[in-house]
Order: sequence, then C-alpha cells, then structure tokens
Amino acid sequence: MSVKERIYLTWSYGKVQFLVGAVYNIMCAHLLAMSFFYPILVDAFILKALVYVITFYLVKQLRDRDSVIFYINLGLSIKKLQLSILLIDFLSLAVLLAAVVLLHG
Amino acid sequence: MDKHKLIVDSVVVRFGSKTVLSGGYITSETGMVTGLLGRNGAGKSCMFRALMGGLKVDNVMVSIDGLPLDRQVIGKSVKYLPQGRLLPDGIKLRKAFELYDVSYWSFVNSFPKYSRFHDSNIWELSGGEARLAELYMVLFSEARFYILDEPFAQIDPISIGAVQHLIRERSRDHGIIVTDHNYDAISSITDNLFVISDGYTSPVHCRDDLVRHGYLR
Repeated sequence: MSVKERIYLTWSYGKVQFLVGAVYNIMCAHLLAMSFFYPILVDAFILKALVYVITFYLVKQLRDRDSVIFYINLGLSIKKLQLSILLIDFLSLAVLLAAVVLLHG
Repeated sequence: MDKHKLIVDSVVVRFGSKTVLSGGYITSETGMVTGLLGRNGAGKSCMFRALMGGLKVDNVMVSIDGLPLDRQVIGKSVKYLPQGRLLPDGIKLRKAFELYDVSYWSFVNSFPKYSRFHDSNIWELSGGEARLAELYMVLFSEARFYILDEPFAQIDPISIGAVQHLIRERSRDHGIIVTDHNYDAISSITDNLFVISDGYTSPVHCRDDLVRHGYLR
C-alpha cells in the first residue's frame, strides 16, 4: 500500500475526529492570539484530551460496526489508525499554539 | 499448488454474563469451500468478527499452516465480507476497488449493469447491488482465505448462481468459509460443513447431524 493510500485511509477513517479536532485547535489558537494569556496552554491540552475522549466514544458508538472491516481487510490495524489520529490531532494543536506564541513573541 | 490451512480455535466470546461462544472452532483449506451453519444468534458472525479483530474476545487462537497469525494485520491473509455494509460512507465504488487492488472493469465484464455505478457512492446502490459489488471486491482481492458472511443475502435468485460460480472459481486456489441461511445455496457449493450450537462448533457429516444440533427439523 502506498503512502498516499495510507494517508487517504487514515483521513477516511478519522475524518470526524480530525474535523472536531481542527475546530477545537483553531478556537484555542484564536483564544491565545487574542488574550496572550499563556497559562491557558496547559488548560488547552487538558481540555483537548477530554474532547478527544468524548469524540472517540461518540464516533465509536455511531460508526457502522461492519465498516471497520473495510480497513482491517486492507491489513491496517485499527489501534494504529486510532493512534495516528491521536498523534496528528495533538501535534497539530501543539504546532498551531507554538506558531501563535512565536508570531506574537 | 501448495495447500494451506487456516485454523481458528478456542474462540470464547462473552457479552456481560452471556456466553455466546465457549469453544468456537473452524478450519479452512485452500482448494475447498467450508460452510458454517447455525441458527440466528448462534454466534457465526461473532466468531468471524472475533477472528478479524472487529470484536473484543476473551480468547481466540488463529494460525495458518501451524504458525500463529498476527491479528493486527490479519487482513493481509484473510479477507472478510461482513453481514452488514462493508464500504464506509463517502468512499466511491471505483476508489474502493482501487484500494482493494481489484479491477472494476473485470467486475463490469461479469456484471455489465455496474458500468453506470463506476463513480457512485455505495449508498446510491440498492442493498442487493451493493452486496454483489462488495462480494466481488472481497473475493477478488489478494488473500489466501476469504470469509463470506451471508453472501447470498439480498441477492436476486438469478445472481445467486453467478455468485456460486464465483465462489467455486476462487476456491480452486484459495480457502473459503461461507455462512448463510440459504441452506440449498450453501450445501451445493461446500466441500465440508460445520454447525454452531450451544456455543460450540461441530463438524457435519450428514443431514441428521443438523437435526441433532437443532438447525433443521
């Protein structure tokens, strides 16, 4: 499987989580840019973990249980897919907040 | 051609205090079609989902040619057509075939009406049309073993013959496990049969075995 296909499948599997995560990340970056109140950085990550857990639970409940087989059949590990989503989501928050801090120095 | 053997053994599945499977067992050999029968709720789909990793299980042992199989990447060796919808929403039929490395146009050669669905999402197809497309996609993707959970469900009587032909064709150099409530459709293509009852799997040698396990009267 090519890297492009793997990226496509990760997006396809986790698009709801990615979208919710992106909205949250942009809101945090916006809040930081407006307030310059650096202690909210820690709160942003704590709340992020909570949002991630809730989104993960809801997506798991609402997802058609058989559709995960589509990914398993392709030799993908659902645990690894979920871990990739978690890493990308948290990294993008870290990068976005770091960019705001650097830009406003 | 080398023979290969898949063994799924000691499958234990519990939902709370209810034990669905206490000793699930099935084997498949390349060149053969194995049938799995059982009444509704007997645990057929549970066993397959337990094998594929789509269900939390208390115990399952899977091996191919005597070597334990890493269930994290089982899809490379075993492909599964589940009872419900396989294709996730938003993936077009053409893209799904491409990801499974199956030629969509070979499928159209066998079933010409699908030429107009090339760029369709799965929800644009009827239940039976989607089922046939998913079945073909799974059956012609790269793997040694295929598990087909109710492949004849929703498929019209004329296409059932074509599906049976496809299964027989693919079983020449692959191992296939099939379960369905269409007993006639199953028994005419299988080389050996198992039945699940009371949480255990037993081999079926004659029709009386099915009566004894409460599957037929």
